[in-house]
Formats: sequence, structure tokens, C-alpha cells
Amino acid sequence: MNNKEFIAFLSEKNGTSTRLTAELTNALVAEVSSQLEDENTVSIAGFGAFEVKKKLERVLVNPATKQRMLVPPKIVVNFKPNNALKDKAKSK
Amino acid sequence: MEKKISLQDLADALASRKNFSRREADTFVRNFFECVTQCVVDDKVLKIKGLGTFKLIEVASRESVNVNTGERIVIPGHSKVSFAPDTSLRDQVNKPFADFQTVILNENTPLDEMERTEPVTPLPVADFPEETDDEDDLDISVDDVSIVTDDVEQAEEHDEEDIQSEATTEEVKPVAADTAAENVEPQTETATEVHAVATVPAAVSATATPAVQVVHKGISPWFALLYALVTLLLMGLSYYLGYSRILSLNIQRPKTEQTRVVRKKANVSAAQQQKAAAKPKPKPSPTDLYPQVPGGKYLIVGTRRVHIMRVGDSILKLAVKEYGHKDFAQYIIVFNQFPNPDVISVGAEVKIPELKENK
Repeated sequence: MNNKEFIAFLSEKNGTSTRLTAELTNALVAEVSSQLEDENTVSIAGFGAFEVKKKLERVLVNPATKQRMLVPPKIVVNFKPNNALKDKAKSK
Repeated sequence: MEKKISLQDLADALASRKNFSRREADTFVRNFFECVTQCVVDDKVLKIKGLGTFKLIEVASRESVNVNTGERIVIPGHSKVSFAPDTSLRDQVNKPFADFQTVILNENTPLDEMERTEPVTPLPVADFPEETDDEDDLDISVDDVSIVTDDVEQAEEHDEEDIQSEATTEEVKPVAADTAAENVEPQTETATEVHAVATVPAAVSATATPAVQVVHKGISPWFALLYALVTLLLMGLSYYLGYSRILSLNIQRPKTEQTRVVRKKANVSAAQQQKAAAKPKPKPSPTDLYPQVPGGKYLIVGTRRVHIMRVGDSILKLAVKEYGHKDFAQYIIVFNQFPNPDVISVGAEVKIPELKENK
């Protein structure tokens, strides 16, 4: 399901126009992003938690060419599904 | 920083952003995540612009062991939710490290060793390799010195050396024998000697000095000592060369100055006895004629007598017998210029120097 379909689905559920839903969705996503940028953890009950993790630099070896590469340190977003979401996924 | 943001916080922020009532915002956020859950579970893939992609991934069943009972169990296959952030979100979060890029390492980059040594460096052990490096440098520099002296040798074979320089080098030789006793003294002496040996061909100094400078780059504490050693080596070598020439072939000398010729003649006539060389007609100072102990209280002004070593004799004993103290052995050693004063064969002639107090 892509973004458009999702917004249509959401607007149907909320009973609002797709335009407003799209706007709100963008605002929500922007809010989550800015919180993650500040290295905050966004945890939503019944869904899961978005958190940022710092990864150290490391050396990566291409097994085919044996070429070694130095991967720089980085900050990544991690999503941890909550037990409720896990169970739902499992039962599926 | 590192706060925990809940659904309510998100709703509040959204309400303030969009001029919404809090209750409406709250229901929207709740609905949003409910929808996400539903969509993921139903459609297996959900892509939200600006946030990322949620996916339902199948996990195959696998065997495992119950940790408590040791029983073999089969974990049944199931699905789990995975999330891959959108590029825009990824970049936004990674902003502090955005400038870093993956670098392809060269084949010969000794990275494993680098990584291994890096945690070790705080330890004091890390100081030792540096010291050994210094020693290596020293070794190398000594090699260089020998090369330099070779150059000098060649240069000197082409040139006729005058007696003046020989006399001065003769004096310097004992300084070479006495290596580390007095660092400052030999240095100052040799500095003056360098001027005295200005008659030595310019080629010598041209070859010698640059090499010496290269050698001592970066090892300033050793500079003084090494410089002194180098110059002393040069002097000693030139002395031997010149001396042997006097003894063997002594005819073709530039007859520039009368006095030199006279002195050379004196050397030739008494080739077997060094003592004779010490008595030329134009009375030179004893420091020119005899090797001197650097920084010594006494000057060697002549030969008192010649002692023939017998079994049980030693230079220390001789010194005690002749001068009353074993410290005078230094003068005997310097005067005779033993290559190895620790080993002197029975029957060897040891010249006992006549000493005069140095004023």
C-alpha cells in the first residue's frame, strides 16, 4: 500500500477529506521526524517505538572483491514494534 | 534530548501546529497509528511519505532448545513488522554525520594493526617502540658516519696533507679514545680543531658536513655528542693515514715551508721511535706533540721511560707505581694509544709519560 492509498484509507476511517488527512499526516510525520532529529524516542502505545541509535564506524569487506571500505559513523532510526503489534503480526 | 515522546505529546504538538483542538488531534493520531497497524497487517507493506516503509516479514520456523529444560522445540514460523526509514528521514536524523562518506581502503593500508594498536596507545608500553626507534636512528647515523669517513679517506688520498694538520689530529686522538667522559670538552676542542684543519681539502668538509647535518635532524640531544664523534673519527682517520704516510713514503711533500720539512725529516729519521718525533728543532708546545687526556689535570710532556710488560703487570699497577695513584692509568693509555687497553700482551712496550701539571 502506498502513501496515497493509505491516506484514502485513513480519511475514510476519520470521515474527513483526503486533503486534510494528507496535511495532517504530513504534519505528524514532520513532528515525528523533528523529535527523532533531537534524538528523542517516540513511543506510541499499542504500536511501537521509534528511536535513534548511534552506530560506530566500521570496516566493511566486500566478499566478492575483497575490497575494504571504511563506513563512517552514523545515526539511524530504529523501530521497535510493541508487543501488541507483534502479536497482531504473528497471528497473521 | 533523549526524552520519551508519547502519543499525547505528538497530539499536542500537532494541535499547536495545525491550530487544531487537542481532542481532534488526539483522535487523529490514534487513528493514524491504528490505520498503520491495520494496513501493515493486511497489506504486508505500507509506505508513508517522509517516514518510511513498514513491512511484514515472514520468519521461517526453526528449531531451538528450551534453555531451562534442554528440550528440543520448534519455533513456528511467524511474521514480524520491520521498518525502513525514508531517505529524507534518514538524512535528517544523520545530519551531524552527513559529511562522512564511505571510503574505499587501499589494499596495503595496515588497518587491522591500526585498530589493534589504537586501544593500546594509552598504555605506557607505547613509549618503548619510540625509544628503540631512536636507537635505530643512532645505528643508522653511525653507518652514515662510516660512509662519511670513507669519503674523507678517498679525498685525502688524493691530497697531500701538511704536517700541521697531522699535529693537531694527533692531539685529538686521545679525545676519541676517551669517549663519553666529557661531552662538552671534546666538542669545544673539536670546534677549534675544525678550524685548524682548514687546510684539509675543501672537498672533505663539503662531503662531511651535509651528511652530518642530515644525520642529526630531529635528534637534537644527541647532536652534540654525535657531532663530536664524527669529527673525532675524521681526525683519527686522517691521523692514521697521515702517520703511515710519514713512516713509509715520505719523500714527495710540498716544500712550502721550511719548518715543516724540518719536522718531517725528524720524523723520518726516527721512524721506529715515536719519542724522536717529539723533539724537533722548532720547539712546539707539548700539546701538539703528544696525545693529551682531555680535561686532564696534567699534560703529557715527554716519555719518562719504557716499561716492558711482564706477567702480572697491569697498567693500573704501573700507574700506582709510577705516579702513586691508579687514576694516572688514563695518561698511560692515552699516551700509548692502545687500541684495546684491557688486553696488553706480555712483552709489549709501554711508554710511561712524563707529566707536568696543567696550568
